[in-house]
Amino acid sequence: MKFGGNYIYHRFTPTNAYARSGDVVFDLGDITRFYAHDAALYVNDEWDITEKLRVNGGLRMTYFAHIGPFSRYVEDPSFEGRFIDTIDYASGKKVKDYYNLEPRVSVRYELNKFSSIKASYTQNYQYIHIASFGSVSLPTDVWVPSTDRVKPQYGVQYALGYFRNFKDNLFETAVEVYYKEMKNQIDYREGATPDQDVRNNPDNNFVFGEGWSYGAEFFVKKSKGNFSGWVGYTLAWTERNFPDLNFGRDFPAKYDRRHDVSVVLTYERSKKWLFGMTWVYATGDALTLPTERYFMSAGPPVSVNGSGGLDVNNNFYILSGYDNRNDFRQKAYHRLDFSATLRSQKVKKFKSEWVFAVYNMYGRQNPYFIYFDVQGIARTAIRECKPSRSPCSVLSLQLLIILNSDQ
Amino acid sequence: MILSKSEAYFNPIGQNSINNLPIRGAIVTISNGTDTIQLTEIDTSLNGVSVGGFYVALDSLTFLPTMIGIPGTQYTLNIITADGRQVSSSAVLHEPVALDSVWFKVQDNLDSLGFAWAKLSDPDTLGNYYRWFAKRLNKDDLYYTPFGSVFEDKFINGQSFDFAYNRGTVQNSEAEEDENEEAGFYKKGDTIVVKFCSIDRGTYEFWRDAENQLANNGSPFAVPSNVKSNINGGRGLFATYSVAYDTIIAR
Repeated sequence: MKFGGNYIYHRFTPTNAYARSGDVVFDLGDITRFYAHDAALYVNDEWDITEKLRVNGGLRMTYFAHIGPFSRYVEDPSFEGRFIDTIDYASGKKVKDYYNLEPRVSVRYELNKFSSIKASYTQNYQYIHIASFGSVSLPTDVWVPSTDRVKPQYGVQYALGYFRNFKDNLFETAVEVYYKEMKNQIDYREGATPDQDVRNNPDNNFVFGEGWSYGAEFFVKKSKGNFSGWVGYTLAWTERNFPDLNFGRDFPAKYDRRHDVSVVLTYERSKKWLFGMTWVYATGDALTLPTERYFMSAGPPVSVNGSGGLDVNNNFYILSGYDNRNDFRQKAYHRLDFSATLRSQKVKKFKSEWVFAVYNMYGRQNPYFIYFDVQGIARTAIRECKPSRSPCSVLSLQLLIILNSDQ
Repeated sequence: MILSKSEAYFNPIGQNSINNLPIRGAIVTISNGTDTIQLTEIDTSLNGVSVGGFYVALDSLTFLPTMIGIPGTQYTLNIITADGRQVSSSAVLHEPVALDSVWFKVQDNLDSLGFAWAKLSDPDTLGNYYRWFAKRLNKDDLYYTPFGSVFEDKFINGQSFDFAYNRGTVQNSEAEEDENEEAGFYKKGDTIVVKFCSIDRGTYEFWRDAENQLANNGSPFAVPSNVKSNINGGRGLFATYSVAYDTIIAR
């Protein structure tokens, strides 16, 4: 049996602002800080019920307390940005605390000498959260603890797997399916900007929702012999739902990745030469693109001029309208890398390696990001920012000197 | 006001869309709670091309306004299109807030180029919103807005302070003075008419978001979002402006 505990004292400073014009200093409120206690006790044990059945179980007891000094700004529900009250908590005084139990259990049943089944159940609470402002050019990540407003994020995962070895354990294979549910997910409300966190609590600008993810993983590995390597494939879905985002409709998470493939091969030709090859493939990130375009005159569209005629405002903004969040996909990401390693003999405590590597062998132009280009007033084109074309993008040469510690 | 349709984002913009987007023949009314007026559809031309979809609250003969704005009043807009779609909105006309003073100041060691400065005393009730327009006499056709043309009194409520604006231009201007070192600056010799507008929250939020969206266009990191609109059943804005004018002679 294993057991233990931990304790952390947190201090967060998500917002810090100051502004003045000439001699006039503007009131941007006090610096918003969060203080919190974070403690946990855990116990874990493993039982061999029968020769074939092994159970591993654990329990983690968590305690998290958001404490003062703290000022909660109370917003007028009918008027975003107007505050009707402030609730002050003295230093060390409890604002809100949470106790939670995190049980987990996994079971392995050996079917025979070379195959087994594993099943697991895990439940987790998370008390530290990150939210990003998306509405600004350079997004700001804001870290906050659980508070009276931000409930701990809760996740529960079920997994079931079948494992089998072939050819006298030369090949290891696995198939696993999983389902994960996440509650109390956080995000900034639609269109929130960093100034809305000033003289305010950042979590007043959060909206809350849930997420879920499910999929299957396939894995084959050969670890013995001169020729070794593994192939992994994951098929997955990750979605979210926030009543206050995307018109309340489900949307894919940014990193919803339908297909993810890795192929890693190693060939040990001699004691001196080692060759390696890696190929990765991943479905492109989900992203939101505008679906509609509309014109707005930059000021009053028509005005009466000094001579009693009408002036038409010909200064137009072209604005974008968005429909479903993350409804489009970037192109898939894939790349082949190759390396050759020349290993030297050990010299005293050191050995050295020359690594010759070529990244992106077939010069795949993976998009880094996408932007729009308005050409005249004629049309909008979609552009991908990607590396320049070359047969092999990068050739790298490195010398590794490794201190051999077991000498 | 202008009434038009939106179009699919990747459609080319051409003569077709300029002909087809305006919505003609709608019934547009504005009410101040007691009186309701119907706006008149006018034919107008833009860069020499006839464009529909313009509706004005002006007498068709005299061009005199058919309804006069009264500060503190809520105005309601109702639109019924020829094919039966209904759109509505409402906005409050705020009290105008005049600037205390306006002036031109040369920027750092730039010989004759500088910004338009102003001193504002914000009223001590929270909930004031402003938009800055300016026009150079004999140089600009219209009152233009620089980027960041709207602001609110959330952090400046009841205070007196100085602020400055750069020179706004028509969108995507390719004029020489907007491409060379004079871009964004006023110049000694300019006569600048400042149109300082007190606006309501809906107008503020719309232009805050719209300017943000245009500024973020092309940023790989920004999560795009819709511009907040005060229109029920459509995109866009029903705006109210309470105007105070000032003139700066730059020297």
